[in-house]
Amino acid sequence: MSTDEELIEEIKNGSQAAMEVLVKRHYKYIFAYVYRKLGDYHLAYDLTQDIFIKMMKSIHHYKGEGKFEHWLLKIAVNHCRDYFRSRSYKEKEEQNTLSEQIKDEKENVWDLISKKLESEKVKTAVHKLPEYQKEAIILKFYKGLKIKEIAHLTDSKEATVKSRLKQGIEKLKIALKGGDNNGVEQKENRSR
Amino acid sequence: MEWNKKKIDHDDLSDVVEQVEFEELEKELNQYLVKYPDEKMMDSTIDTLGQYVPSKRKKNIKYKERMQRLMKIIGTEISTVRKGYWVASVILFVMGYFITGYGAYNPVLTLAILAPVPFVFGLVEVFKGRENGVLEMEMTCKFSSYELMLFRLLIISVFNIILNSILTFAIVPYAEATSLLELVFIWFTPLTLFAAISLWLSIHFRGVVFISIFIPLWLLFSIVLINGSASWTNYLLNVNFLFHLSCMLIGLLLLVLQIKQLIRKYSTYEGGTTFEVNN
Repeated sequence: MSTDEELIEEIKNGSQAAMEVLVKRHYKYIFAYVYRKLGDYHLAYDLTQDIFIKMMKSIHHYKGEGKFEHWLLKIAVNHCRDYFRSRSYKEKEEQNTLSEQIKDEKENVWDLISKKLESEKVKTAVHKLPEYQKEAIILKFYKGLKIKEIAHLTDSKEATVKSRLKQGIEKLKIALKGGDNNGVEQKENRSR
Repeated sequence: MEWNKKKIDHDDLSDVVEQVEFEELEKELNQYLVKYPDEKMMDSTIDTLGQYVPSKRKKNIKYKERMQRLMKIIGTEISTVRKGYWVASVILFVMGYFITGYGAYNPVLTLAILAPVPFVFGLVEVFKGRENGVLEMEMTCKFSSYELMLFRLLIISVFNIILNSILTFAIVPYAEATSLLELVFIWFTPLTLFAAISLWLSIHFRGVVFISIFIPLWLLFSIVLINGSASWTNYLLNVNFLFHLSCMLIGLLLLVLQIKQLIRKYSTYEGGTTFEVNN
């Protein structure tokens, strides 16, 4: 089986087949990150496509230093950050608060099954976290990265990542046990 | 599913959270399932990405390098063909030679009957990636699935022609009345026709079905040929050039059409089993 680096060389030489193999190999890895970051299936699909477009556009810059998967994940991390800063996200947030009740009625079969498996509970807890904490938690728990690797991917200091993880873990523990985050948030605000 | 994903390293968080608590949290977080897009949606993304693939570089590869590369591919493909196939084909032809030599059989008949057999059974090898569901794995090689199939087709065709040629030379002494050129015509006609028919069958049917359709066809052809009752058998065995030429042209035309269909079908291959990976 060809390595990622070999496939990239083939893509640079114009191979559509190599591009297909490379995208299929990493699609779910990237989609899972984006989906957990956004919690929205359709949006995650669109953003994943954008991430792969960015990958294709910058494939010439990939020099084979470090794992390709991490290079691609870094594109995903930055793209998600760009999205949260975008106007479309802010507009969507406003709409979401208005239509939360309607959304509940429109939930599809998957969401119902997902709820049974407590997936929804965890999803809600993760999405209540502030963006940077959520990002660190997803990279740590779902991508299995070390603090050093997360720091590199997110252009942050290791101490910052550790702090984000610590705060995120505390909030998650409370949220998943059924409590609320107010205590932790107040403590956090005092320490800022 | 991600239940069985690799263990996450807790060491760098040991001063933040206890190992037990960390594992409990990890277990709980794993309940956050991901609803992945289906193959069709993934393919749609891949189609969109197609436009961003750089256009093919025209490589100025030297003839020698090109030949070396080709020989390497052929070598790899030969090694993927089961040994049993080579051995069985050779044994069949050796048996054919001895039956002709020591039996009272017409050598021309032996040639005509055995001519297409290695190619037909070789088709099972050509399509074995599809049969075993590893076509997607084969696609991860540097060549697309149809390119690999074409390489294998080329290999079994050359092998078939070599076997037929050896047998032709070997039975020349037994077929005094027939010239070498006529002998070549006698095996080349059924080879092209059967190759076209069998390729069509193997594209449309899986291995077991394909073999069970082909064997009765081949037996029928052999029986009719041995009886010699049909008028076309006389044309075939007594070398009517017009008859041979028309059959060969039809056979070659059908073969080209089948190869085109194979390229069309497997260059957009969407079959195979999909697999879940831990992400």
